[in-house]
Amino acid sequence: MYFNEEKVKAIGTRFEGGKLAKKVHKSIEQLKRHDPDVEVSSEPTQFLLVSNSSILCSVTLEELEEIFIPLDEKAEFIVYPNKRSYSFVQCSSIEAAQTVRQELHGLIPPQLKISHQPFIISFVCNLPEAKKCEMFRPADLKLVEDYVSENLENDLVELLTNHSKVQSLKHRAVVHFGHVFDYNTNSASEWKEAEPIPPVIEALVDRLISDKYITERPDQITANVYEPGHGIPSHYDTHSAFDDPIISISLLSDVVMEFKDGANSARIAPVLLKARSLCLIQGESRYRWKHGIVNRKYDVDPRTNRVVPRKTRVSLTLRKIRQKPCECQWKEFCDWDRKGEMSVPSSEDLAMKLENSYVSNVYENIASHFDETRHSSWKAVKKFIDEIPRGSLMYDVGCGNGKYLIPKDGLFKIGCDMCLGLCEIATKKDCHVARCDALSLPFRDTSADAAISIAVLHHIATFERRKRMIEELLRVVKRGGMICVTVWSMDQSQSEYAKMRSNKDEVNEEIKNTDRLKIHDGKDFQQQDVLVPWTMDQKGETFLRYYHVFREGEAEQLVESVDGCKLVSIEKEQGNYIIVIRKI
Amino acid sequence: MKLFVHNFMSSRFLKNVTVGYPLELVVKQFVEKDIEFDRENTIVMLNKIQYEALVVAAAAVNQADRIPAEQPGKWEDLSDDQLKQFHHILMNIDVVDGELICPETKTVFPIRDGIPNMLKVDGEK
Repeated sequence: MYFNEEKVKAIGTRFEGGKLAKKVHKSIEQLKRHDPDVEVSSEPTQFLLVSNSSILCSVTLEELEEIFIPLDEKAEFIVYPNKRSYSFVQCSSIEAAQTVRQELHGLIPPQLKISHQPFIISFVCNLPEAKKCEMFRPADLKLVEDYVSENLENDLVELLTNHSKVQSLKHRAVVHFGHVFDYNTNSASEWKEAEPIPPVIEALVDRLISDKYITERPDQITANVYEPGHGIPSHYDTHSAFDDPIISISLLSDVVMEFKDGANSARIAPVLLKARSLCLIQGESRYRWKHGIVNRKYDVDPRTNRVVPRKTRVSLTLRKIRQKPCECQWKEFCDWDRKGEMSVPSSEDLAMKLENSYVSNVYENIASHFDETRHSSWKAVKKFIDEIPRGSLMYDVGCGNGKYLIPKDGLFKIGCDMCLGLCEIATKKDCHVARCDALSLPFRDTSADAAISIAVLHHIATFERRKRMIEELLRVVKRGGMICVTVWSMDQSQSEYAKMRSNKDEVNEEIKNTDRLKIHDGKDFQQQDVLVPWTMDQKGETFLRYYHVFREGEAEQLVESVDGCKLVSIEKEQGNYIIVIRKI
Repeated sequence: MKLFVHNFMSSRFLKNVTVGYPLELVVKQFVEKDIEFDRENTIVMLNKIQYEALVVAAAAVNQADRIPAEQPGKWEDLSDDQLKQFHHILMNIDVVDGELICPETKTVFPIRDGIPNMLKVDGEK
C-alpha cells in the first residue's frame, strides 16, 4: 500500500541527516530552474533561500513574520504569490542569518497553520534581479513618477489631513472639493456643490493642463486618507459620470493598485503607484478595467516581489463631470444601453444585429480555439443518439466542430452551422455540413428521423425567435421524430463551468436593470441575457458571446408554446438543460 | 458536398417558396472518392431519398447513365453491381465547387471548398 510518511509529520518536527540532505538538493534544483541568476553560497551570507514558505504552500505572510521577526526583527521578505514555492529572506546581518538558519533549517515551524512542510534553508550570494521586462499593465494606463515635489506633497497633506470636512468611510477617510461624489448612485445624476477647490490644487491642475495630460479642468476632486490596512473595492469609475481620464495622485506612501479585466476578473495586473506619482487612468484602463486597492497592511512590489509595509497614504482623485452621454468604444462595459444597442433586444432587427455581432462574428474569430476545446459529449445527448434506431437520418443543427457527427454509429448524419470556420473544420473531419441559419434550415420538410441542436438555442435573442427555431427543427423531422435541444441553465451550481470559474470574484450585486445586456463576471448568472467572455489565452484577446440562459421552467413554457410537439423529458446536466421533444 | 446531401436539401426556408425542391445543381468541380460499399446501408439510404432529385444530381456530374431514369421497383431486389452504381452517385462523388439554385426564385447558393452556403443574406444578394 502506498503510504506517504511525510504527510503525517507533525508540526515542530525537524528533518535531519540523509532525508534533510535530499530536501536541500531538491530545493536548490528548484532555485536553479526558476531563478538561475541566484547563486548558492557555501559560506554564510545575509540572504536566505527558504523553501516551502510561499503562499503556494499555504504559508501566509503573517506566518512568515511571526516565525522570522522574533529571530531577526529587521528581516525583509521577497515573496512570489503564485509562481514559486520558496521565498527569500534578507537578514540584517550574516550573524542574524546564521542564527535564523540554525533555528529553522529542516523544521516544520510550530507557528504554521496549514502547511506541514519543513523550511529548507540555504545561504545564497544574492537576491534575484528585479524583473527586466516591463510589467504587464492594462492598455492606455500612464504613470509619471515624481510628479509632485516633496514640498507640494507636504502642503497637500497638511491641507487634506487637517481639513474640517473629512468624513470617515468604512475603510478610508474622504473629503470632496468642487462637487460631492454620491456613493449611493455612483453617478452624475445629482451633484451637490462642495468645498471650493483650494488654490494649491488649482495650481496643480494648471500644471496638468500645461503638461498636456488633460485639456479640461477637473471639477470633482476627492481626497482619500488610507491608513495601512485600508483599501478600496474593485470598481469602474462610472462611464456616464466622468470624462476621460481619471487622475490619481499618490502621496506619502507607495501602494499597489490592482487592475482587473472587466471581461475576465482572473486577469489581474498589479501596478505600483509610487508616492508623489501621477497616474492617468484613461482609455482601455479606465473604461474596460476595474481598479481597486486590497485591504491589507503590506504590498508586494510587482517589480521585485519584495514585501513592503504600507504607511498612511493620501490620494487625490481629479475628475471632470461628464456633460454628455459616454461614447467610448468599450460599450459593453458602459453603464447606459447606448441607445438600445446594448439592451436586451425587443425587436427582430435588434435581435439579428445582436446575434450577428455577439454570436456569429465571435464564432468566426474563435473557431479554431473552440475546436481545440470541444471534444467531450454530454452524457444525456449521447444517450439520446444511442437510442435512435440504426440507419436513421439525423440532422445536427449548430454542429460546431462536428463532435457529434464524427462517431461511426450506424446513423446517417448531416450537420449545419452558421459559422464558416466551424463548417470548414467539420468538413476536414469528413463530416457532411452546410452553412445556414438555425431559423432557416436548408432541408426539405419531414426529411429526417431525428435532430439534435446542442448549445445553440441560448444564442437566439428573443422568445419569438427561439420559438421559431423549435418550429424549424420540427418542420424538417418526420412525424414521431425525436429532437434533442440543449441550453445553458441560469443555475450553474455544481457544473464544471462553475468550478472553472471558481477563481472569479463573488458578485453580490442586486439583480436590478435586466433590460441591459451585462458582461457575465463572477460565478453565478445575475440575469438571463448576458455577454459571456471567451478568452483565447491569459494574455490574448477576449471575445464576448451573447447568451440567453434559461431559468427553471422556461424550456417547458417554450415547448408548450409550439404546436405539433410533445415534451418528452427535461434533464439537468452540468448547468445545462437537455430537452427532448417529439413531433406529433 | 456529397450528392446524398443534395437529396435532403431544399430552399423551402426562403420567403414565398412553397416546395423549393429539388435544388438545381451546378457542378464546377468535384472529386471521386472510394467509399466502401455496404449493401444494407445503401438500401437504407435509397429508401430515404427522392429519386427525381437523385437523377438531377447524377446529371449534374454527367453520370446520369449510371442509373435508370425511372426508379426501379424494390431496392432489395437489385444486385450488388446495380446497387454499387447508386452507392457511387450518393457517396463517392464530392462536389467541391458549384452552385445550388432555388427552383422557384432562382436564388443562387454557392458551394465553396465542399461547403454549400445556404445563408439567406448571402444567397439573396
